Amino acid sequence: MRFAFTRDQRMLAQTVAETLAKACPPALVRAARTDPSVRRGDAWTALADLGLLGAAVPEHRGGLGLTPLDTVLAWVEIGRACVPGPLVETAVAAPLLLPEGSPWLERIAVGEAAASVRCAENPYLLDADIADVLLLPEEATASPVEAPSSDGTRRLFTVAGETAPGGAAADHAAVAVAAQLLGLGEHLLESAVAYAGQRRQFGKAIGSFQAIKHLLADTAVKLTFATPVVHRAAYSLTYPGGHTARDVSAAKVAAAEAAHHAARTALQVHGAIGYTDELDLHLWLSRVFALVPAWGDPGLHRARLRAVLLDAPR
Amino acid sequence: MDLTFTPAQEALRAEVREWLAANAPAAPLPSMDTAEGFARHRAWERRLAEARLSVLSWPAEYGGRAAGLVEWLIFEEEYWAAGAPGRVSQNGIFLLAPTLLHYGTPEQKARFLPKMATAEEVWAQAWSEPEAGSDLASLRATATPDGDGWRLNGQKTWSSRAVFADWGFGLFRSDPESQRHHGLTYYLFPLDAPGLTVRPIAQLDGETGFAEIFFDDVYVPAAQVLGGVGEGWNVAMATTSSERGLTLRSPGRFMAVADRLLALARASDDQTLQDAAIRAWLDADAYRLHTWAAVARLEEGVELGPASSLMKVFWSELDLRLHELALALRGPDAALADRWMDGFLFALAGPIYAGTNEIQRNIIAERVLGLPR
Ligand SMILES: Cc1cc2nc3c(=O)[nH]c(=O)nc-3n(C[C@H](O)[C@H](O)[C@H](O)COP(=O)(O)OP(=O)(O)OC[C@H]3O[C@@H](n4cnc5c(N)ncnc54)[C@H](O)[C@@H]3O)c2cc1C
Repeated sequence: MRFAFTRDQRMLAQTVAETLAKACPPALVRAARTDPSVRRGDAWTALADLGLLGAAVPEHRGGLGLTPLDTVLAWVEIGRACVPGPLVETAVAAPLLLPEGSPWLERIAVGEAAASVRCAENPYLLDADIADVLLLPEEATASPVEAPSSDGTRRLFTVAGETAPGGAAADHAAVAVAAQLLGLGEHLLESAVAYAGQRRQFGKAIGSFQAIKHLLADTAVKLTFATPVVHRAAYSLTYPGGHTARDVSAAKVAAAEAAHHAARTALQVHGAIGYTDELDLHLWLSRVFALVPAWGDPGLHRARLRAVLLDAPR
Repeated sequence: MDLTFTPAQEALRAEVREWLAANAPAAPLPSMDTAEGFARHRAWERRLAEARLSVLSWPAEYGGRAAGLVEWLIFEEEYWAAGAPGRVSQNGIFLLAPTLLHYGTPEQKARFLPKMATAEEVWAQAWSEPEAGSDLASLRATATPDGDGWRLNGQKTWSSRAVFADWGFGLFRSDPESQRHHGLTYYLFPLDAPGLTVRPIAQLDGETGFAEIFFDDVYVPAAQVLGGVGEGWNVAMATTSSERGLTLRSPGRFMAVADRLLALARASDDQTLQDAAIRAWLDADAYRLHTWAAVARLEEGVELGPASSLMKVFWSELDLRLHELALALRGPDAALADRWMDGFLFALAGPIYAGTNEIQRNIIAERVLGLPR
């Protein structure tokens, strides 16, 4: 029993964090709302250069052949930086959906190809406008039609026709999204704590008011206890042992709740300035609100949990 | 990361499980807050000690097995899953013992730990005073030098199990000129000492679960000072941080309740309550996972520190939610005085004792997040 990450796993996350601090400033996230090329711009290239887009591609196909446990901390950092683009779809879902011999794998591993994925758990094709390959478990009967997206940095598309479950790809993607939600939540908490230390009202820093302290403390509690649930889901994907569905759904549910709480708290602590387009905060808020329903909305995961936890006595 | 157990750990689990199956009382013991129940719980502790299961993590010379934290967590999972009795000696073995092992003299350890392990001596903690609750540093009870020892005066209150316990531990102001957390000393005293009066207080369930303790020139020899004179605050904080952290509320305890809650949910057709019960079960599991991660950090030498406040808030609110949902699922039967109701009433106190959750949130905000005071 050792519930901890290896040095290499932590180092990878740290490298991703340092890289994104330069390659993915808030200005880039903002620009992704208007300039489609940004979604495959500097941040995409930087992650590809680290090998991260090919992390799940086998080594003999040009990837790193890493496990979800190896990369889950890196996905937290990708969330923290609010990186735009179809990253989970390309780096996590596609390698599991593509046939073993697919030439797309090599192109994904070097960052040359982007994928957009549709399945029962994830009915909207993310960023299909900039994707090279659309992965649909069933034949699409028509070409993608854009749907209005709540997060301007994410473009969503639908296609007509039935869809099928994504299987393992959906589980792996859900955990990468859950990890991103943790990172987004942590960034929101840090921003709110920093603002609460600076902003003064009634002659004091607002962070000295107990109502503000307790809001932030509650967010810290939620994020703290969602974190090991996400880590354990990555472990269950890496060493499948019969509880994968439970552990993946638990991770998505816990991370979504914690991140949503962080979003609400961060906005409340900022007051009106947080409600503006001028401050970057809302880019993180929108991403949280967009990722909560992505790769298994809360209702889907609740239903799965009901099936595994209630139907059979443990 | 490796979430599997070693063969030795699995063997320990099997041993504990089999021993409990053969030895744990079939029916719940009477409340430990009654004279009869207290005696029965004490006898149960003796049996546990005879099997060397009462204080697994202590050194062998004091009655333990020098087990690691993972082994202790395994024991706890099995213990609570078996529905074994509450631990009447918990304030001694979980709260005082870590402090005694750290600050005690060899003589103190040899004198107190073996009898604590067998519950021959059960301990009560005496921090709170009528005017010093959350603001413990404002405490007024005094200790005055007298020859080789000290005289204790003043009043403590809300001391759990002091009605039937044998010994107490707590803080007294040994320097009359001192303020706040300075000039305090940590004393150990027998509850039948001359000049000491224990007055039972009935709790909301009617049982005398805690007591006031009055000190009228109670003599305590120097050998019953724990840690340095005037160092009491730091010595005591070591106890409260283990209380808030790992030892008082192991995940096994909540997992066992959560499993019983799921069984209720399975028998229900109310999907809203089922979903809420599942969510609570997942939080019990999250607490277990967080504890494993904390153990891994402790093994690397990283202290829990103020992060233990995150745990206190989480487990106390989790315990309450588990029981509230169970009552909701029990429908009209929630009106019955049974195990669920007992558990609910006890869970209600969780956000109050061991530092209220408001105080814990202050600590999280100021000392974990770094917000201004
Ligand atoms: C079942 C039970 C068992 C106990 N066992 C023991 C024991 O064995 N030994 C022992 O010494 N004590 C024991 N206690 C006492 C416990 O430690 C105290 O109840 C606790 O420290 C709170 O003190 P208080 O009750 O005086 O409440 P107060 O300090 O008067 O607090 C009342 C309310 O005000 C809030 N409050 C106070 N200060 C602040 C602040 N700065 N910011 C925000 N809110 C604040 C509190 O959070 C609480 O909600 C026990 C209590 C219970 C319920």
